[in-house]
Amino acid sequence: MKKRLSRKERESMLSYVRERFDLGKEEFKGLAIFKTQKKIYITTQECLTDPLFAKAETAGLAFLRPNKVLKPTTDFLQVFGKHATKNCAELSKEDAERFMRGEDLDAREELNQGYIIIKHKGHILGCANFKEGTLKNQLPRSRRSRTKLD
Amino acid sequence: MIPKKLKQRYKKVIPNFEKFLSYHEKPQAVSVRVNTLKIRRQDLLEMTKLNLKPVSWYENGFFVEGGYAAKVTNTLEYFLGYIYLQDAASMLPPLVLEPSETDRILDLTAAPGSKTTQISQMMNNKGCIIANDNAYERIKALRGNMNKLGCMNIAVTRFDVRSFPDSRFDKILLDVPCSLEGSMRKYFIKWSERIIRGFASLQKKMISRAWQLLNPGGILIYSTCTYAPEENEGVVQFLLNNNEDAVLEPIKIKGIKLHSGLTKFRDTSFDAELKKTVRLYIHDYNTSGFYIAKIRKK
Ligand SMILES: C[S@@+](CC[C@H](N)C(=O)[O-])C[C@H]1O[C@@H](n2cnc3c(N)ncnc32)[C@H](O)[C@@H]1O
Repeated sequence: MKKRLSRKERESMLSYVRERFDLGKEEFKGLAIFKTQKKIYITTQECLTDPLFAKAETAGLAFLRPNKVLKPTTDFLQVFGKHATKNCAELSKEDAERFMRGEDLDAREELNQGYIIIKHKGHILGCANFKEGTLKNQLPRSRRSRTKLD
Repeated sequence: MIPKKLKQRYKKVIPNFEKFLSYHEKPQAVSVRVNTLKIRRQDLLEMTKLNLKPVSWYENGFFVEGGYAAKVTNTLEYFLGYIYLQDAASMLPPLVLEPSETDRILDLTAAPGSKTTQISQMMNNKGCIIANDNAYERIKALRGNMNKLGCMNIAVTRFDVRSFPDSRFDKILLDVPCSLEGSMRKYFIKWSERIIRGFASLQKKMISRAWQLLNPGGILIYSTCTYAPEENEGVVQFLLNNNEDAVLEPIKIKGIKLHSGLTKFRDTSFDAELKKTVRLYIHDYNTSGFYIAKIRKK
């Protein structure tokens, strides 16, 4: 079942990504958020208000997973993460290759516990959960790759 | 590889027939679309090591020189969703549709979403595209592509086209299931004239429903990747015969030479109007073969 968010829920999600990654509200202008049991999605106002929306299986991009702490999806971060200034980690070539393969990594810098945006040369590879010195890989299985970087 | 009966059917229809046959031995050109929802075209060109050559009819399309698909899928730009593997001919129907940011668009047979995601980027991730398909597994692939490419302006429905719920659209794309003659280099296909007749009958039902969903003044794009006139001019002629408000519009796309639709096949004649529809053969640009019609509702 798709459900629209209450104003309060929307505010709390946007303030979460603002506090965690410094992603401002202006990035979400003209966009709408809705939830299903498993995920929170981000789509256009036009899709959300479309007469066929109620009959749609899904719409837009997976945004957050309602875990104990809201987890941003790889897909969302790859579109919006370029504006983030907080809780990002830049990986070396070797670590980036390991990350794309789906491996966990030892953190090489001081990070805050929780979700971290993983970058390589400014490109957003995805998301990791930083806990006790380890960056736990959050890349979905379907997105893992043996890509070699140069 | 090419059934004898198929050769007989098209010998007099397809220009430069020997060349056409010889292209079946040649691998199809690999091409990609730059996903401008995630990266600017210029930035991609600066970043990539792939040897890209512009597709002359679409600024974001590129042939991969010396390319095979695995070379593309092993790159960082592919991992990041900056590029999408798409046959250069399949980039044509969205160009004929000419979507704009404020349109409400219906893509009736959308999975796995090559054309839907192209339309999404042509609309700059604005407005709303209803992307429909009735195959569960293929819808999963469509959702995967929407997510990987960062498309936010698509809502996915799962209906049989023939019973798609009542609604009205200004622009509809109907990229029907077909006998795939133009994609024989890509897929192993089972071919027979009976199969062609079966598809033609389904396509007539689909186009009839699509027509009911179109607003007056609206545009319907009908496309196939097959040569069979029964599935192409025959289906469009069927629509014209049954709907006085259906008119064909000429198709002009800069950078590509297309063949006119047929007015005769074996002992069947089609209206001269059908010349406004277009055909593309594999030996024209080493892509898939395609057929496209642009129909306006008066
Ligand atoms: C040529 S493919 C579409 C390719 C797609 N437009 C793209 O560019 O990626 C035809 C699609 O029609 C769907 N299809 C076949 N019969 C259908 C029906 N009766 N209702 C809805 N979809 C149907 C198939 O599942 C298939 O995905």
